[in-house]
Amino acid sequence: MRISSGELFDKIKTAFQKNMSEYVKYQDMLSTGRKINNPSDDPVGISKVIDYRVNIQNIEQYKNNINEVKEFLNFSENALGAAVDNLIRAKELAITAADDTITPEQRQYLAKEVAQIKDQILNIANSKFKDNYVFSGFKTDTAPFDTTNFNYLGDSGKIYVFLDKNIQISQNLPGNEIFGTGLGSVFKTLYDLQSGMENNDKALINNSLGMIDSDMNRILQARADFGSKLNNVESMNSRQEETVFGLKELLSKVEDADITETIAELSKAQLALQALRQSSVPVIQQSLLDFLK
Amino acid sequence: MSLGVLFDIGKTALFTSQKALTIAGNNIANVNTPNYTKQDVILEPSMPIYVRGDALGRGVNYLGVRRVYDRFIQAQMFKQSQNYGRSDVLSTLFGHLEQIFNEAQEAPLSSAISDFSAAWQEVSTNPASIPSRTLLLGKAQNVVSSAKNMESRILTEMNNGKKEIEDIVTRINDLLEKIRQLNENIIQSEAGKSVSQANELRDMRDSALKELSGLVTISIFEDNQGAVNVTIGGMSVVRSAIADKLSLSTDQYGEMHIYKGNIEITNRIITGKLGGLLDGLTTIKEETLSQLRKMIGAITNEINKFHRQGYGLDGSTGNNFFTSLSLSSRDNSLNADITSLSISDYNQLKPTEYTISFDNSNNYYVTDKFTNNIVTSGNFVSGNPIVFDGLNLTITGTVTSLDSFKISTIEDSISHLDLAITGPKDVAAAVDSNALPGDNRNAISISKVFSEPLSSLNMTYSDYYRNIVTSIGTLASNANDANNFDLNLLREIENSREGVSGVSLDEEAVNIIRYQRGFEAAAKMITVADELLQTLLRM
Repeated sequence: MRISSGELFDKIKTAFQKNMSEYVKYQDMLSTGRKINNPSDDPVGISKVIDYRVNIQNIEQYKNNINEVKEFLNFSENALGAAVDNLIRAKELAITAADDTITPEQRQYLAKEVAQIKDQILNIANSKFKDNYVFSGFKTDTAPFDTTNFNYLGDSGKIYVFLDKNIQISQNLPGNEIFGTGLGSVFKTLYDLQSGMENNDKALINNSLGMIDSDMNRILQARADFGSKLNNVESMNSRQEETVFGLKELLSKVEDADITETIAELSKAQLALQALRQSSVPVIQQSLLDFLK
Repeated sequence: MSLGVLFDIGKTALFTSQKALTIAGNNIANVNTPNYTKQDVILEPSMPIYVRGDALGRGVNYLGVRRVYDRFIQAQMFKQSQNYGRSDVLSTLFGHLEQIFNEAQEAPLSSAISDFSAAWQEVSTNPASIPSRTLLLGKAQNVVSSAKNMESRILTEMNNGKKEIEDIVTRINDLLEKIRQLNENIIQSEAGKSVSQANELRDMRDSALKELSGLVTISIFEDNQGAVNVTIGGMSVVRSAIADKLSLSTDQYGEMHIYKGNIEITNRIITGKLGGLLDGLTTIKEETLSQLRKMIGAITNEINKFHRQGYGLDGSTGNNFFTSLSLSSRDNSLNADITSLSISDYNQLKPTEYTISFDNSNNYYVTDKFTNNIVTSGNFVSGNPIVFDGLNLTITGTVTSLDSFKISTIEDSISHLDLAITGPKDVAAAVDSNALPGDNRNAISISKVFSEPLSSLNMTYSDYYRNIVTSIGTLASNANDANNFDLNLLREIENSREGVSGVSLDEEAVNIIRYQRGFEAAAKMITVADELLQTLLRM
């Protein structure tokens, strides 16, 4: 085959460009740490990359949601825990007051503590978390219980929050499901107990004592509900963390360059480039004209 | 036989060697000239004289200079230059396009939308929180600007392509004129000569033809006078010493049309840079851009639908979150016009493009471009409203089966996009008309727009977006592969051409020695003949 002089130079030039671009490709991979640097590097891979990234971003938001719900549930559970403690004390006071050996003056004295307990539970029921009333359903800007006739002023709204794409949980319970409302509320029970003690009305005290148990049951049930939700949310949190971890691993497998392999390929490309440089020198330099002097 | 013959033979040999040396020198001088074709002397023994029945040679005849040339390889090169021109421009174009969607480096649009969806969840967890709502508006604004930025980068890329098309058409016309001129010169200088050719002129013409091949789909025929006839897309543009011009026009919708005379040849140009650009720009416009607009249209339309039903903290309702989709239309008919076009029901509005076509029996068909489904059809009556998917449309005039109209709800889905909502309190997170601060049910419904399949896309927005990026990646990677293949093939052919027509310095060095020796020997012969003559004279 006849080789022209121009062809000889062109061929070496082409070989240089090819080796150079190979070298630069691996250099790029090393500098970014990624094997996919453009969508065209791996069109199927880039699709996975976007999918994993969107999923990770979504789950990070679910984890944010979970943290907020956790705080809210913790707050609610602690509030109800305090309410139960108070109610237990009220029950003790009621039992003491029901005793025949207690004088009316002592009952009057006990009544003051019951009044305090009533106010405290009322405070708990009307408590705010991050400036929103916790137990008033959707009416988070309205105190759920009116302090004179104990009517529930909230609504039955349950605020649902996403823990995952298809999993929602209601973070709140409407106050009437926990504390009752109006004449059927724990506040009315305590109010009755208080006035029984003040007016030395043993029948009323005994009646209230019975009511305290059913009021307490309702609160305990609500507290258990928050507790089980908390468990739920915690396990959801660790599940989401595992998922993110798995996704990040998958993402890395698709888009990250294998450093050892890349360095090996880079050295290979470097070697080829060197060999080409060395071998092409005599080819370019030699000419028949050198021998015709 | 006289001694004079010896002088004659010596003379022809001397002259021939000298000419051959000149040619070798010229070859060496052009060793680095692109598209130069190596030249060679054409020699022939002189007619012998017959002396008593014996034919005695009378030296050498110099017939001329020829180009060492392979017509077949040259034709292959013109053909392959066309393919290479196309794949080269496509790989550049799609290479730029994929940078706009380079989710490997940064994730401009997809992360803006993810953030926006996360912000909706923040609002659903804290429906009464003004900071959460303000954040949501910020994230929404970010989606708007990311989408606009992406669209404008695509449009800029397309505009650059259009400018390049203008330049290419100008260059094609220059080249056609140049080829015509060279044709004329070649005909003149070769007229009446049987062997010798206008070598340099032909090299120049081949150069022009090669450049033209890289630009546009052409066929080349050489006639018996030595002129080439060139056709572009089957239309003759150079006939011997006559050349035509291509013309370019841009219609009201920004589409480019290429004409030869009054015949449109846009669709016949497939290869060369021009063919690649025309094709690539259509792909970007009809696929990438259209899909991106559809996706943004689908998200904003769906959010608006829910948002109009919900209630803001201040009790506001019936409001769009983003600006609503708007309509645009195209008229491809002679005697009919769209006389009215409006949205009759925003809740039925779909983010898509429709084609309205007609058959010979005066029936109309409305087809969804993305699904290819017929949305509605019926008998066409001029001036009667056609109602479908929340649109109300009137076409007036007479139509034929060649006519069509296009209606799009997404052409401006990005360019007209903005927030319609004015303040954080207007974010309609609630379903209840009392606008309770803890009511987050509508925010939850809107959150689902991002995680659940959208009916207008048939999949989730993120799957749709992934498909867009993947198809751009595939376009770019295929274009690169094709470009590498075409380049290698072109190099292969160029090497074959070099193998035949290229100058080899070693070869020319040998030639120089060879003709130098020939010259020396011829001179020696004249000396010998002279000595012989003197010997005779001294007798």
